[in-house]
Amino acid sequence: MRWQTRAFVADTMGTTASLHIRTPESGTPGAASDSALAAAAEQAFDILRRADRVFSPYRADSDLLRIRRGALAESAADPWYAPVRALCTEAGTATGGLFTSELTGPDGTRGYDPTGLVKGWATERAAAGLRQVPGIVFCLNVGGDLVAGHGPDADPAIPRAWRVGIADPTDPGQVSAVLEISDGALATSGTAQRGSHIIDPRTGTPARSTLASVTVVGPDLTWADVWATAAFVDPNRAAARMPAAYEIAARVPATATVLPTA
Amino acid sequence: MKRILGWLMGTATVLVLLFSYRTSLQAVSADTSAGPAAATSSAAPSTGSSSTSSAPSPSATSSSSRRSGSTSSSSSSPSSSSSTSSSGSGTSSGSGTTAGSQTYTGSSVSTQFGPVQVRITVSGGKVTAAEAITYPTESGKDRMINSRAIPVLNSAAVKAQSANIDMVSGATYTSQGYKQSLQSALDQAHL
Repeated sequence: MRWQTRAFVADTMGTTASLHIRTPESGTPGAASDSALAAAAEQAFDILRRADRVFSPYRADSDLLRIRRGALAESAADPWYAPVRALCTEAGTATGGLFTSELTGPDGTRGYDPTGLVKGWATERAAAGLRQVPGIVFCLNVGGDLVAGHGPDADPAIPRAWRVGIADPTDPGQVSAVLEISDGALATSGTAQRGSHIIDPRTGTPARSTLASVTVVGPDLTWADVWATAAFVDPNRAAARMPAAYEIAARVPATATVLPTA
Repeated sequence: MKRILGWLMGTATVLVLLFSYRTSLQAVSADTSAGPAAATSSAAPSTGSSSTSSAPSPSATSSSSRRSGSTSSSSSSPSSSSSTSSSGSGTSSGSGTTAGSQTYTGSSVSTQFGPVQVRITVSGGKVTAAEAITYPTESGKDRMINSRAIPVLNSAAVKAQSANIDMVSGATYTSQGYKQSLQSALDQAHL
């Protein structure tokens, strides 16, 4: 059988989302039309865009910041607001405090900020929509956190597995590991792209991790992302608390220097 | 004390921003196991589970016809590196065919150092070359940064493709970082 990969890209949530879809080649039986694929991609991206509108700590008009300013009541917020808030609390408890949503935002104020969880949550939600699209095999990568899956009746001759290169944070031109994922989630936490932005909730300061990056795989990206963050802060404690369905699939040790030396 | 800490972190942020330029250039990798194209190089295109005998057909014809669909002639040849720093609306173009190889040119992206634009060459489903066709050279400082960053990008592209990967995971990149990366140019192969 002949199949092809189509890619769709969108800038949202402060990063770029790449969606790759494997589908029977145009003109062969079971092939989805270009417009159907584009519509499915847009639907997935729209979920990410909505999450950005609701939760962005960078957009003054987001529900999050309006609530923080007192300009919007929590009860009047987007219906996504409450479940994410509950998940953040749950993540703090589940990780024994290695994950927190009490952060100092870009505007310098400290408060509830679900940034560390909401990207995974929204991506998982977008992927749930893609799982409804008949015949496709997909991988949705949002800034390095990704979900792989397939729609109903996907032809078994189309490979399900995606080979994911883990960028080496100490030498990001290199791939430090290659993992394969067919149906599930993979999240990496690390310092390479934005410096030490992960806060150790126990000290309130940037995490001084023994790792440069850590990758967690599991069934749900919300939790893979949470556990990757927790494992970055304290790999051993996170590993001890992590449910069996999740595992640390790759870790890259930190080197002496935190910042890349030019 | 809090104030001092805040200041220090601010400084760190600036440093990170400064270096993130290089970092984002490096944090690239090749998405090469592209379905149809990959089949030309290996029967079981790196996708362990796909031991099905029916490997995807080489279909250079079909995929290139798709590409030509979105190709806007070779207007983005290196010579036209005028690179009006289009804030990278994703309108990059594939172009150029030399006997089985295809080149893809990423959007020109304006960075704090100046415009950057990446071009890759794909041959037989493999990335055979990657080069920055536009990069800032104005000040001495820029040169210093680029003389390291650009060669790294070139070798990284070819190294990453040997791992034959579909996607990349790492610390979250910004949209800006993504656009400067080879991943951006590689995504073009399937757009």
